[in-house]
Amino acid sequence: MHRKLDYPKMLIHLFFIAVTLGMLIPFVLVIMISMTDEASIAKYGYRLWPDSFDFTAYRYVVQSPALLFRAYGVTILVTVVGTLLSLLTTAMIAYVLSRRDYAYNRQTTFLIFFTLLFSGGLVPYYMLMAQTLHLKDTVWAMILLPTLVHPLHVLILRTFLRTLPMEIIESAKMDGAREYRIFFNLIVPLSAPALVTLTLLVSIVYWNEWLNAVLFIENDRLFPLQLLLVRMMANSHFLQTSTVFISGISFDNAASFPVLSARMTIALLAGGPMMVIFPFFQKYFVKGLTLGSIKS
Amino acid sequence: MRRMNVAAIFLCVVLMLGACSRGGASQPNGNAAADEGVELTWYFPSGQWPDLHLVEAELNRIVEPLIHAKIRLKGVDWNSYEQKLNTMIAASDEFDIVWTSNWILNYRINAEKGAFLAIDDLLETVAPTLKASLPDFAWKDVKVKNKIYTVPNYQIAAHYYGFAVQKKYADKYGLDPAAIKTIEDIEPFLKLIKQNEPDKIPFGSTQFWCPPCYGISAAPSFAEENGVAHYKEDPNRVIMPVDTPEYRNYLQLARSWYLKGYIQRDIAVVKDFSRLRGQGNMVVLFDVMKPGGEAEEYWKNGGNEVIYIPMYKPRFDGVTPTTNAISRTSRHPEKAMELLELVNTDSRIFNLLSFGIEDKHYKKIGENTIRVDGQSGYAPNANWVFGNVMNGYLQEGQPADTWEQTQELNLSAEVDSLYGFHPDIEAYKTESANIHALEKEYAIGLNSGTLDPDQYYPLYLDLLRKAGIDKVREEQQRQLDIWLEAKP
Repeated sequence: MHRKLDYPKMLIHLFFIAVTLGMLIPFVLVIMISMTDEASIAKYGYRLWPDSFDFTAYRYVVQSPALLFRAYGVTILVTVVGTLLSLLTTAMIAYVLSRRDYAYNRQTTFLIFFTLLFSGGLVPYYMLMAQTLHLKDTVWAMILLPTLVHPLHVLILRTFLRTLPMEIIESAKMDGAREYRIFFNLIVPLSAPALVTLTLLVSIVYWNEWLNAVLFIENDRLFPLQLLLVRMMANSHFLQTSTVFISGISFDNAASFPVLSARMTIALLAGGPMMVIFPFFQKYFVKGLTLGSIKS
Repeated sequence: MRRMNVAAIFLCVVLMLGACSRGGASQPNGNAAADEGVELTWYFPSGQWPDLHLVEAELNRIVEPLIHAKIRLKGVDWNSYEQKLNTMIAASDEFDIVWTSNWILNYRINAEKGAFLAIDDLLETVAPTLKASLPDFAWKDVKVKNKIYTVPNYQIAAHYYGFAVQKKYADKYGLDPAAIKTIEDIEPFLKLIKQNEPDKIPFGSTQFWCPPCYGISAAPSFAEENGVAHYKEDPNRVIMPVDTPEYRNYLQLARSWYLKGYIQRDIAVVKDFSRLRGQGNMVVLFDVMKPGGEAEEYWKNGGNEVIYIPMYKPRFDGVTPTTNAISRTSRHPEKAMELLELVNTDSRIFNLLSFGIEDKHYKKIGENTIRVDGQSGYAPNANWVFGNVMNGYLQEGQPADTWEQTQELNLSAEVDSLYGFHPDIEAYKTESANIHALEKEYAIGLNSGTLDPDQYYPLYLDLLRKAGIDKVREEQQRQLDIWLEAKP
């Protein structure tokens, strides 16, 4: 069995190897920079293999591990609980909308679609969250509104569920199943690929939760990861850039804080876990991409 | 039956939320506070300090017996402070003390909007010591429509720019500071550095456009976004500094320095300026100056001594760069005022807020001088956020008479002839935003000499005109004329 060199195929492979490297190298660079000595960055610029390793940036970020672990805990809690709740509510709304025998289908769809175009604005939103619902300084501020149900997700899922034949639901009814049973035992398993895709989208939104935390979380025990990291980064940098207004003295901070490598360290800590989780979803993600496209 | 189920689930969710909101909140809300005693919340910009709650506990230990109120310190990070507080103010959220300034969370605009409480009477009745502790000009400076809405954190209130030159090179090449009278006078020295010190950057600053050096003045100040500029000799005519012959000449000078290699090639895109400087590679900088500033520059330049060559007389900038106001929504304005009085008059409390706890966050190395531990859990390095800095400790390296010098500088600084005039920006808000966007795009490139002024300045000016620079000037002039007429 002697195979001849297949040039077109090789070309294609080379092309994709190049694309893959183009994605991998920046990532490796980020990891390497986070471990590079600050002085050597200033001297030689970013390098794939630093000439002196240094973990000051990590030490700086992890100087209060209790707070960091707590922040991870909060973020994981928010992501898990938020994603589950979000999937449940989104699926329920989408399922109802997908049923052709639901009388107020058009009206409800319009209501949901409407929120996609118009929002109340920041101040009314703040008043609702802080003064009406009293969600200030609770994890629910990061879980409930407005992340819980995204109208676009509802519409995507509704389109998917429409492709399920109505006969399945009717036959289940014939067998004596009630609506909840139909939904949980029939619809949910059947829409697994769509749900997994949504899981990915939703969980990333929750993982990156930051704005709601800025607005509503003041107790540092409830800080999510992103907010904690931003706050660590912001202080010294901010004070260095606004010297005109201030009489304070920035002695050792300016010289010793590893701005460049700390930035990469923070990027890794903030994004890393999601990158590990992502491949598990990939199988479904490909399937999910065809969501909403026409199926026979 | 089914409907009952749904209703029951909803009820459960609502109850759950209620329970959680109560359980999760670390502090009791307003209603509960009435039973337990007064709580004051204080919002201020701050970094992430794990030991803030220790400082808060210590603060309450000292303050609670004095004013019978518990203080909640709410530090918000610098980048989101303005957005968050603007939202809270717009939503009429309840809080007591809020940090405000002329550069973040604009004091004057918010005072006019009615976000803060007028404190003239409270100052007299509750905080007479605080009122007496600051010079009259400070209280005059924070007046909006003849009422005081905020307590200035007294610090340096005048600024001046000049050259900061590394001493070893000044000595080596015989630079005579007294001989540098104008910006151009530094050029021969830059030339020497360029020829003899190939590793060093002769001139490190992004720009050295300095209107006061050319007889252009501004009210209330250049630092403030809405400063109204005018020639010193012709104080009642508003000008746009970018549209003056002085600016055109400056651009040519900057370009020639750039082409001669005195200015670093990629200076316009450098983001981490202070890092470059920390390497000690920049010989001359154009920088803001203040008493005791040489000591600070020493560290900023990577441990190299620096001499100051001021280019113009200190100019009064006002005290609004950092103030603490009482919110209109405060339930206990008298208590809030009492707290502000304590912070501004009791150095124990001020030092606690500014530097943390002794031997934990800082060490005393002299009678009134401390060394801050930058790696500790509380090192905000921004004492000016809390109160009168002259009540506080000095940091290592600051000369013992820093505060006396600062006070003297404040009192002797040149006050603009139009001092007290604040234009109402509502009339030209859009134009102002457009101009600002253009400035961001072109100013650094032009001011650093990176862009050729012959080619880009006419373009920039043309865009500025389209953005409404003339309308801004006319509107400012109109308002100024009215103000001048009303002035006694």
